[in-house]
Amino acid sequence: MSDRFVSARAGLTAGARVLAIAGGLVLSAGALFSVAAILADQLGSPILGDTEMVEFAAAAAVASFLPWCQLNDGHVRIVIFTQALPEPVLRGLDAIGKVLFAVVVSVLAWRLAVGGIDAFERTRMTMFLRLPLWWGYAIAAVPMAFWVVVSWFLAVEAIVRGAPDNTRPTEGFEEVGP
Amino acid sequence: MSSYEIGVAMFAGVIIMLVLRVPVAIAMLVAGGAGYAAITGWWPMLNTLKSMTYSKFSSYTLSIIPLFVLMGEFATRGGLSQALYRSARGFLGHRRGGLAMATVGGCAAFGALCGSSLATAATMSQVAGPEMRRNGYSGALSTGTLAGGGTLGILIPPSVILVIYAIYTEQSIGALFIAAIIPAILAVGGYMAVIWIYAVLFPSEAPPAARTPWRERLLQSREVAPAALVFIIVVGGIYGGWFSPTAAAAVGAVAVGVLAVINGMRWKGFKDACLGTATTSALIYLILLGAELFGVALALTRMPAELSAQIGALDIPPLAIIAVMLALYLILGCVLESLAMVLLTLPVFIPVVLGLDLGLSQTATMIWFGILVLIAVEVGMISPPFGLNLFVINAMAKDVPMTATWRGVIGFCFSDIFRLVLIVLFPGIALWLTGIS
Repeated sequence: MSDRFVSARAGLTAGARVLAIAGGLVLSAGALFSVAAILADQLGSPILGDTEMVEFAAAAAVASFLPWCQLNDGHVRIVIFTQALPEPVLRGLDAIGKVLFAVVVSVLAWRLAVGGIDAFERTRMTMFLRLPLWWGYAIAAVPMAFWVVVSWFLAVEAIVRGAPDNTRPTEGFEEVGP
Repeated sequence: MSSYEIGVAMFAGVIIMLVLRVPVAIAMLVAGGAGYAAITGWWPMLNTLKSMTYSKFSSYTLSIIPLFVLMGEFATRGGLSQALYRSARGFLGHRRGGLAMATVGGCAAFGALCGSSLATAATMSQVAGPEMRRNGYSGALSTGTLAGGGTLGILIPPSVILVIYAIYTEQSIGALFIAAIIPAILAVGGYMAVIWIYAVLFPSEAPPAARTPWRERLLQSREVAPAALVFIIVVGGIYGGWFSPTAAAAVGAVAVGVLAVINGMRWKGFKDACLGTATTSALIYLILLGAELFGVALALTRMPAELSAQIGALDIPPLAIIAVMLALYLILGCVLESLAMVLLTLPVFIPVVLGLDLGLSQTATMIWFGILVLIAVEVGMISPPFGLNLFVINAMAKDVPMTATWRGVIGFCFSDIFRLVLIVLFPGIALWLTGIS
């Protein structure tokens, strides 16, 4: 039973990793495009709508980053107040937290999909390039769907076997951040 | 429930969820969503969410954040920190406490490429930490210096917190970056003074290192030139209006990426940079999303407006209210990461600050307060006993006990608080360069 969790986690992590690196590549491409637009502007032949390309790139990149962050327990949370509680209580709390997380992610993804369908039906376009806005929604929806899968996996994993490794961090703190 | 009570309940809900280990962003999304629904009903709330997520992710203004994060990651993976530290060491290393001063210098230079205090401290720890320990510097002074120096990462532009503050309060990113420059110089000066005093008091903890010949110093300092150039182009470009802040971040990311490749970053380093960018950007965006829903719902409750009217009517000097807010950041720094702190408090603090009569224009007030928040948040992150950055830095120096890190960092905290008080009393320190009053 637990082996299946281990291999599922490994599979999801590998997928999230590929997605995150792809997101980094898209972001870098967006940055390069932005630089190219500045140079073109200097040379007197401005590229129209470079900001819209950056927007598409950013949306795709950010959505692709989210599953990786969650799989690595990268989201900021406070563990100091509950340190003294016994292990089973912590596992219970974390399971509840992960279910809450999965519910929120599901709602966000659902609403994003509905928003994309809206944009499609109303044929909303970007301002300069007249690109259909639903393209952006569609590109973001794919990693969002994967994120839903990841967040429910983490919730079920936490319920069935307790969250691995992270109920009692050695440093006493979760710390990540800018 | 009155809408005011809904607002209070939202805060209570967030705090309860935070204590029970729910991630900050999720707590804000849940409390924000519930508060929104309590006022308008479920469907209007769900309708807001239809476009909210995508419009945050695709916001051109916000895309400056992953770009600056990527730039910082390139700087980290590209080993640019070594060159920066070496050249600072060349000029300072042979002085009393010189290696620690060089660490501060290296952190300051690295902070010009990286907008995060933790990343700056972590990167410089790997370079300067072993060097200081090898030369007989005490664990207290070395970890304290790294904790203090790390905060320069966020104080010196580009700074992720400042960018988010600017976007949130609709102020110019360029003006805030420029406003941070004199406070940052004061910070470097203050840290150097702290180290000097420490080295005078405890000479055995900071022995002078070997002198570097002038020829070598000049050669080494040449390596800093590209990094300095990137800083000038990015910050100068934003402020001078050559390009938008986002475009400047793109230029910075590409330029530092190229520098990193020249320095030896290859596909593996690039992949690591992507993964690091992914973690940091994802956690920032999710908190931004939570803060958006929470902030909109809170505004619907009109709780911040009423609270600010109540506080404005109190017979308390405005500066005392500012002082209370800043003190709150110092306390929150024990349990919350800086960005979460800022985004959780701004929806209430900003209306309150704008309601105070400080004798400054609204723009000037927002910029001045932004710099104050930036410094207060960073002191919170390094103030003993629970400042979060202290634990990270202490964990990286395995042989140094936590008590030693506390002893080493205390001087830096005092220097920060002194600077904070100075800027509270003399807003001109932040505002002078921006020309806003």
